[in-house]
Amino acid sequence: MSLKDKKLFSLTPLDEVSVLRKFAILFLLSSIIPMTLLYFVYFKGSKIGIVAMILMVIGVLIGFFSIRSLLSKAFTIAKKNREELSPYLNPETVKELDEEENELAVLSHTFSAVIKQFDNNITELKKKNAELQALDQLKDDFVNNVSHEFRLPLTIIQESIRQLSEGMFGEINEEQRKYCDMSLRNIASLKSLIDNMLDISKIKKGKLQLFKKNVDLETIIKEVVSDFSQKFEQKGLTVKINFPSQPLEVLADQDKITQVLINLVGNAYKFTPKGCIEITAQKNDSFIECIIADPGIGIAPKDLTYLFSDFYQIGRWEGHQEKGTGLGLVISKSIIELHNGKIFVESKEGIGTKFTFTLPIAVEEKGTIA
Amino acid sequence: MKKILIADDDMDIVELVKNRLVRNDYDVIFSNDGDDAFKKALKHLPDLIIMDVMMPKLSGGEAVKLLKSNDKTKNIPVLFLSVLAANLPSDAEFRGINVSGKLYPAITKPFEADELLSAIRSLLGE
Repeated sequence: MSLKDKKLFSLTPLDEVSVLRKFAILFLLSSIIPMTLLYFVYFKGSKIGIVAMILMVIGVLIGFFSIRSLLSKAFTIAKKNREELSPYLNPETVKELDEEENELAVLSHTFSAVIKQFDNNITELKKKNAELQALDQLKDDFVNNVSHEFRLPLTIIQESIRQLSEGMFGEINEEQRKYCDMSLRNIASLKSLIDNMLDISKIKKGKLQLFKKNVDLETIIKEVVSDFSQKFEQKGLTVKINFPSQPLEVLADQDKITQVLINLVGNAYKFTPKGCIEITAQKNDSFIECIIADPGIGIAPKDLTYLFSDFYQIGRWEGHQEKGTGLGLVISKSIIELHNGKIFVESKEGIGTKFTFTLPIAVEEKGTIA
Repeated sequence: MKKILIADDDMDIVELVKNRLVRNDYDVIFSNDGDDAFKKALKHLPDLIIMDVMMPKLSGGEAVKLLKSNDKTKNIPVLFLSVLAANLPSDAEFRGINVSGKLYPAITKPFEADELLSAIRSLLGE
């Protein structure tokens, strides 16, 4: 059924001017003629009759002009709506509306067509959303399975090379050792990729468990920095650590917080060509704040939006040299949030990046430091 | 010399673990499924069993149930060595696989040789 068959108004096609002209004639005929008759029949040409007559004419004119202005506004709105809404309609509907000459009918049809279109879109979106959710679940299951399937061959490769490099089957020379070490290093990064994928899959399923106890953040930071010290030195980077005098005990899962720090310090290392990376920890009322600031290449505003999304890597398609899985920050964010902490980032391209995270302060009575 | 039974369906794993253990002065026997592992444990009465979880015929968990229900084998310590241990919470103090309500120590594949050896030594009371 076309829109034309569903006309709400049975007026003959009119343009704005002719509508108003016809309206004016009807208005005048329907008011002035009865009033003139009234004047001659009822008041019989008296003076009061003349005054009453004049007042009535004024009243009629005011009424006429205000209704005319209202109608004219309605026409303007109808035209505007038609222009504004046409992008949301399918071309066929737009064509039908263009052929329609009655502006009021167009107004009404446009709205009903738009509502119908929105309704279709919502149904379509709901369907697509359900499909995406199913796909996402499939992806999580796949990641979980794959990460397990990778582990066995990786175990065999790692252990074989390690046994070779330990000289179990005879002394090895410098070059052989170099190659064994190279393999082991890459096995380790593959292993961390698999661990990260498994972590993500646990996080998505809400299965990542924390073992919280009172731990000293200063110790964790120092350990992580010391693990990186050789790499920093090789790249010519320096590190400055600022700790307050009081202890920095937090209620946290030590392994997981170590993981977060490795991610953040690792990112600072990756994206800083030269200069000093500054790590600051400070105590506030109910939480401890840790800031990792680097004078590195910084993050573009377009990247900042997606920084904490799965698999997102800055400049991934721009031939970036740095290796990574694009999972580190997602995992870090989830870990910090599971601790009821917060993590955020500030960055300026070419100036540097500053990551800040907070953790709740240790509970008094369980005063054990791991 | 302490005797260790390795139960794993992957022969590469068996060979690598065996090589490392032999070089650390352990006597090593092995089997490739849970059923055979139980039979070999009954026959050889090892001092320790290193057990995979996913194995043909009988899973590692089922094999442990059998071992624990037999008077001859119930006191043999079990150490799980499995990719599934990666799913366990990374509690720094104890990582274990639950069989019939009891936690058995577990090491993830890929394993670190030091971690494996120190777990073995502590289970053997060395």
